[in-house]
Amino acid sequence: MTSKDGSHSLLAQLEAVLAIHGARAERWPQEMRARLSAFVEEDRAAARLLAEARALDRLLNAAPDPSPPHGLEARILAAAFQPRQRPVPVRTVRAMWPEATLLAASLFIGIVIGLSGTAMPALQDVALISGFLEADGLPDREAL
Amino acid sequence: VLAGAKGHGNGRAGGAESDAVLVGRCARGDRLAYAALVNRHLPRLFALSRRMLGNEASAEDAAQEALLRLWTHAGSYDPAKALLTTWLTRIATNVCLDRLRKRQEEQWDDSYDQPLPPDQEKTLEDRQLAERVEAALRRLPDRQRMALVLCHYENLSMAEAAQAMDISADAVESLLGRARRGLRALLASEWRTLLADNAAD
Repeated sequence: MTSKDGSHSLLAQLEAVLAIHGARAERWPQEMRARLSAFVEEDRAAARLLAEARALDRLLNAAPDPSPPHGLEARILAAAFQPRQRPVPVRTVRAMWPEATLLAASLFIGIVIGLSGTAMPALQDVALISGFLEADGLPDREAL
Repeated sequence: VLAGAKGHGNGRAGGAESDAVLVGRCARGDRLAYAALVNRHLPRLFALSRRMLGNEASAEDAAQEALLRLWTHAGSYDPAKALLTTWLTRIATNVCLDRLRKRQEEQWDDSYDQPLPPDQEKTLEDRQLAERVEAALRRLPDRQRMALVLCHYENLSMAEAAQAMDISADAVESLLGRARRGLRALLASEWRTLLADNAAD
């Protein structure tokens, strides 16, 4: 037998469980299932609460089960197979390694060349030919 | 392919190819595989959308949008992470919630009040009861209705519903509790009548 306080507590737990999970015991939290099922067997108020929850579940099941209209499946296939709806190729990180490696290598080489200053004379030659630099390496004021 | 793939779930029964295999083929542009998946999953996605959005046209659009994403994004599905059913439910849930957000002003159209097709014909009393239940479901706030649709009608676990709605399991519990309490109040005379009938039997 359950004490009066314990019974009130279990009744409150049952009410909360029924409100969330409905009357099907298999959907109740596993750790409470056995205790609450036994309680329902021995307590009239608990049995009443369960009966009410079952009635509500039956009402929910009375709602019609919508089925797709004829032709919808064909319309979906037609829409999917239009030229603009193509599967998007998914590129994993692994698949992008070659490009990523190449980019990283280019960046590294660029930094090395920049720091070593080997590119400067070539750039100065280009600037000289273009008339942006005087032979002394100073900017050509007229060209600017 | 279509005949072999008929039915819900993962379609492994009766020699049908599993969802994971079909999605893999789909990602490589296999139209037959895609058609089999549409045939297998459309009924459930349409029912979910219809219950959420409340009218035929919106539900068709939502189910179509979810299934088109399967075609265009099949390559991003990872069978190790979720069943295809869960993945599609999540997509359809998001599509429905997006549509509800964007179209708050949308009215539930009259198609819901049309008679059921002959093969589902019930007695007048049963049909009227079904309509009252539908009306009560429509009066629930969107997210409460979504939680109820996923857990009661789609039979998703709390964790799966939480994943589909992109919220915590505690939040789903809270929504479900409010939804059922709301329905209990809205349908009080109906469930009391059912109880009285059961007692009389």
